[in-house]
Amino acid sequence: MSKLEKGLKEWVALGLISSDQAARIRHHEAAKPEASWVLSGLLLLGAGIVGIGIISLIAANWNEIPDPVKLGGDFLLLTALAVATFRSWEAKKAIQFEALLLSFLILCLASIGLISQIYHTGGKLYQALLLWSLITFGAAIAARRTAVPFLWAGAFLTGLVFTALDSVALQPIFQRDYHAVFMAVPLLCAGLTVLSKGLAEESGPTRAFRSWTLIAGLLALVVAEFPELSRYKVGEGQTALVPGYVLGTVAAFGIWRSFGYRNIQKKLLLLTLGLFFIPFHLPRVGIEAPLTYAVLTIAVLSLVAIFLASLKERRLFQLFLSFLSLRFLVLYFQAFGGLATTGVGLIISGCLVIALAVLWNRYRTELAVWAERWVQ
Amino acid sequence: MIQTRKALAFVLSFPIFALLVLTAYKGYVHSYGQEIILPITGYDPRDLLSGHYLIYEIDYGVAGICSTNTGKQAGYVCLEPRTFSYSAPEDCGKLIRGECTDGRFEAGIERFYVPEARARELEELIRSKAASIVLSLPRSGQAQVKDLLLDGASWKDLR
Repeated sequence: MSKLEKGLKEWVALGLISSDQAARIRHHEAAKPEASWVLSGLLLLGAGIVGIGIISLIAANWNEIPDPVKLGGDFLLLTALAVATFRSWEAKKAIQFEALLLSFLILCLASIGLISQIYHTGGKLYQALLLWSLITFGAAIAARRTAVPFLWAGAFLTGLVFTALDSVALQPIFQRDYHAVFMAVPLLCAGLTVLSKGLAEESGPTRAFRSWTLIAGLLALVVAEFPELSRYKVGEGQTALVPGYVLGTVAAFGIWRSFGYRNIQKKLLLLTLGLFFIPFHLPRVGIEAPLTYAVLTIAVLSLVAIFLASLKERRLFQLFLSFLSLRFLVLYFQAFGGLATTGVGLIISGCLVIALAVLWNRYRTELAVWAERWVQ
Repeated sequence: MIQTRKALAFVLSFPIFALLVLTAYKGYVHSYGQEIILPITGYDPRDLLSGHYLIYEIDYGVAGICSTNTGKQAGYVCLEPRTFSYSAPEDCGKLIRGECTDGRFEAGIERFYVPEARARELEELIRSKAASIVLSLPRSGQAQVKDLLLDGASWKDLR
């Protein structure tokens, strides 16, 4: 039973609304385009599977078919899909448009594979992903829903991260320094979110970039906790961090200019941003104590959780509290690594997990309410 | 974000146009580049996004390729005269531009795609015959693979 259905039954039972009103609310909600999420999900899944099927067909490399025929067929199919996508947009068939757009984008990637195959290009997968994401950027942000831009952004970020780490052109800047690259990625996503929100308000691309800001931020915090992933030692390699500083400044400016947030929310975000930078600098000043990294990660996660609570994003708030609990658990293993290998250590760890789960279950609502009030 | 018909038409046609340009460039190098043949060794069959392909090492016949390299940097193999350098040489008749990664030279030509149906047969043939690769060299040095030769004959002619 859906939440809405449960709520309606409860409100009717309490006499808050009549059965007639409940039926009208049901009818209204069912008529909304968002109500067809099952259909749209299945259509997008189908489009994705068809696209992967086309990639597999191309990968089979049919040498009986001459190369010009293969390329000609591919471009014909691309054009036909582009025309069909365009027509579905004109006809305002939202779900069909998203499914066709996804198929078109996947076929663009398959076409890069076909060209590589015919001309025996020895490029790497991340280079194909980056090329694909650059030429399909405009098409991806034409989507109204989140799925297509989310997939696009994932491919773009994968291509970008590996290019920054591997390409000769970017070696003078990043020097294969994981810390510098991973520090820059969530800030880039934040910048794209601000840009997208400025151009198209709360659209599919905005939601996709925001999601990637959180995912990339979490990944960056994990990477930051491994000082050995930084190639630099004390006093070295400040230039590798410059792209991160530039993007951080843009993100800070975007936060401060954001009209949607209250002052305290802006200050909270800026404080989070400041704390986020610190662990990436620790190996460069010779600090490698795991506890320092853990404290900073916990502080950043806590601030993000409070910020999410202030936006009344309870699910995300609870998700971040779960990450916090997990980090505390890892901290326990870090602090008492010797014990963890023994039976006693495992029993204590198990009890700790159970205690955290019970506490979490008991106090999660109170925590959310407290955090929401804290930033009022 | 895309609000008008014109904007949508543009963003949908741009990838097609970009892929056409890429294909045209590859086709141009394939057809008009200088053709050279180099022996290859160390075959390693793989299977990824674009299907079955062989990875091999090319014998450029040039000494000291990437020998002093650590990390990652650009590298240039000149086949006329046979030299290697980390910066683009000025008087080189046949240049191959690539990258040195921890002492290994790669020019994006170390891969040859084969049809799935003939992959196993070719793997066996390649072990019993002398293999070489036909390259097309543009002036920019960004070489492109044209054909795989087994005992001097194109793999397509072997049955």
